Amino acid sequence: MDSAKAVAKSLEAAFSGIQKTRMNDVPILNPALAVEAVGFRDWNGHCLGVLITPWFINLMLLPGGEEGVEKWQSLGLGASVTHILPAGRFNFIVGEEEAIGRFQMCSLFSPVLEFEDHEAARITAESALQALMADEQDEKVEDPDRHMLRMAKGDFPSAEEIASERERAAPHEVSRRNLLTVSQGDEESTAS
Amino acid sequence: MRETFYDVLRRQGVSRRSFLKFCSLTASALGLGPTVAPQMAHALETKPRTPILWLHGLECTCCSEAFIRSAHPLAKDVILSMISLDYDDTIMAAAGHQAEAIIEEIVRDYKGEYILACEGNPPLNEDGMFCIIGGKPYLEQLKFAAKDCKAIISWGSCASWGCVQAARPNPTQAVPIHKVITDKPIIKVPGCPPIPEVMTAVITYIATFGRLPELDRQGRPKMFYSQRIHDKCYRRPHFDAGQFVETWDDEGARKGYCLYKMGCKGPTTYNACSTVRWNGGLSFPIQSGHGCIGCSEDGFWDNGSFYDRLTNIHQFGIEANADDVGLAAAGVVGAAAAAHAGVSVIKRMSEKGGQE
Repeated sequence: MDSAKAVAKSLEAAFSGIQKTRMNDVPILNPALAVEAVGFRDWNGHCLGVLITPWFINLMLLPGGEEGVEKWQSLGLGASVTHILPAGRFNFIVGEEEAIGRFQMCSLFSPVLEFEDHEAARITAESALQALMADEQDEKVEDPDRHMLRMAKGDFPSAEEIASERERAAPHEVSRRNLLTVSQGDEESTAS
Repeated sequence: MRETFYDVLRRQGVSRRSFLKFCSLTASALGLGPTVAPQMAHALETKPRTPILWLHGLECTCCSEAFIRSAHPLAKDVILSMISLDYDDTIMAAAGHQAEAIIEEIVRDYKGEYILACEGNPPLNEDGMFCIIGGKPYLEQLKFAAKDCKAIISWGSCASWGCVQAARPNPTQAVPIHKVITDKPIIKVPGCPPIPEVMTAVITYIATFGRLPELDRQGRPKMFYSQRIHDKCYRRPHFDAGQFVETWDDEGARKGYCLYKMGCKGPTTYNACSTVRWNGGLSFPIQSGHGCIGCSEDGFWDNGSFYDRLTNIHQFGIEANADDVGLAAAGVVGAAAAAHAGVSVIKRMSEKGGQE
């Protein structure tokens, strides 16, 4: 808990500093919002929470302990890392800032001009965290999109993977016999 | 009877196993889940190929150029067999009167069954004389072909929004398809050009299931247009940390910092470039060091220079996916709206919902 508190504090300090310096001349900030780290907690050996700033609201993930810091050094800046949270799979992007070191972020809002006041932003952040940690995954939607992402990168699932995915996801709706009946008389397709 | 997609494949020597694999891959690519693959296989085996008329109005053919370069598995070889591309003045063999006669044939023989794919848009000024196809204004060809179609695909920013020829002062009065055809379902696939894999995925979906994918309020497929470039940009952590490229080729540029100050329109552009990327997932403009020019947004030519720093977010369609996010365009006011926004954004950003 203490480490999470410390992380929250250092994030707030770092991003307050960024707001006053580098973001000073950026015209898409929401002046009604302030920098605040919301709900930081230990998660899976890391430190997870929501960071509100006048220019974004993100899920932020920071390494837990010295070991984590060292491990994260091998991640490329800008690399995408998938984390499985109770609400599903989320892609985080690796960044780095001198005062806080390596971090991973997943954008919730940016810019944040639609937030009327800081209170609205805080409630949004809190309810987002709550939703993130609530195990309400819809079993039927077994993220077929991960295949889309793989394929977009030219990495196609093998025939075995496809077959096992089919079996696993649809044991009742489409029987193996049904699947093969379609291909009757074609011996090639019966090999699996 | 028209050949089915499966017939064509077999004739071309594609094995049944490859065919089933194609169905699986396509179902995954479309985000449909493995249960759909057998359904898709059945449809492709039994349904005659969907006739497509691909019309070209005022355009630069970049949509066609993109389409034929899709790296989707097998698609580059077979997508033209899956549909029956009966008319496309860029790549069809027929010419002259023979070519124009095809349109009449399809409209007559496939009433209510064929898909009208529109690349480019019609100019209305001077009774449409700024775009003449086969001796007649394109406007007439468009209206004739649209009359009995099942649905329209508006390829690219020209057909979807108007694009460069509709930029001020728009001397030819070029207008997007939906301003002329108002009684047909229209699916917009904006971008200049759209991402090739997005194009083939959309057309495969329609041809296979005979229905349109889920669209947002503006008529774009939610799967590919529900997030902004900025949301998933690999340079996004630099934006968050205020690490910007200040001038071209400065230290920040070499370090791959955020291009916002160089005019990047990523924060206001709804498209899948930062996730699907281009050239088979190899790269996209920001990755090559140039900001996003917002080419899939309505009126992007009239929103200042590509190098102007984005200041007025509302000039773009920032409220475009308000229905997904659950935000009113006016803003998040009150505890209930804020709590709802928090829950919705988690649903939207998790991998199972749309892009990535």
